[in-house]
Amino acid sequence: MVKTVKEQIEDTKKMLKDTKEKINSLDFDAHWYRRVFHAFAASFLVYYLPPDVDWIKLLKLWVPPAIVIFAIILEVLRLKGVVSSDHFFGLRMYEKNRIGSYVFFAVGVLILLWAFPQPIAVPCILCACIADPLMGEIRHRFSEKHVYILGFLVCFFFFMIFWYNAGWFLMILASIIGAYGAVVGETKKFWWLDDDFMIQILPAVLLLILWFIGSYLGWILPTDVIIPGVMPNWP
Amino acid sequence: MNNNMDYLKKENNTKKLIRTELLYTPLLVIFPFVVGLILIFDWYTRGFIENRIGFESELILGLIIIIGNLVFDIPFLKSLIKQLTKKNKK
Repeated sequence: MVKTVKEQIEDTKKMLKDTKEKINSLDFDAHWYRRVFHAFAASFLVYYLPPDVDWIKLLKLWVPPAIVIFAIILEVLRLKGVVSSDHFFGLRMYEKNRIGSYVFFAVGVLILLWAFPQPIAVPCILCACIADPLMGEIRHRFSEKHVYILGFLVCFFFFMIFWYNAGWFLMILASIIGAYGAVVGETKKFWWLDDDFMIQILPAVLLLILWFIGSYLGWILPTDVIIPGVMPNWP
Repeated sequence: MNNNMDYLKKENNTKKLIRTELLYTPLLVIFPFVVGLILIFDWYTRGFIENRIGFESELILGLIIIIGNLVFDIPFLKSLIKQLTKKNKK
């Protein structure tokens, strides 16, 4: 039996109403949502993959800060009450009257992408995206002591695999310094400065110092993790 | 649960929050996998097939992104499906 247009519209309306009711009845898990949001941010590393041609360089220069500026404006509007906090799922109570973690996170990623060499930026971003929610989950289930040990090991692993083509001494040293910085950055809490920022920037700054010392002393420094693609030759 | 783990959703705004944020779920789940696969594909085409060194880190990074996301996506989707089926039964 062929339905009339009116019947089809009615069906669609009913379906939309049902879906809305279904969504409204959900007790969505903010805890896991926050973790997934963290892990998702690892995708931003795709930034390094496009070819280094002029117009893409321009995009790489302007798109990330545009996103961060948008997040900052949104957050200012939220704090001023222009945009309701109701639209920000997963915000914690202590973020109600403070800048949200996601802004700190975005600013940290932007600084790393722009100002740090790739072998420093990539593991630091992974620490914030993967190690941070893992440490949060460990803290949630076990004790603080477990957070330090397992967090250090995970971060150590990240730094080690992306510094593997440096000299072995530098690889071990960088992994220890980076993992230590990441764990301290995650565990030291300040009201005004979020751990999502500290877990990225603290190890990055420590490793940048090491990078300068290494290059001054003539050590073998690691090469880039992601090699930009090549622009295809269009006929 | 201490205060650090309390969410703003406890202020009776859950429904509005869900409507806004549920829309992002497909992006949050699918995009990292796409990026991970692109990195692995890049290693395969430029590194493995052309037998060039220096692309191994792209393979590892791709795997880390995929596995790292899977670790959190599975419990997240489980909790979502659980809630959906629970409400459907009622």
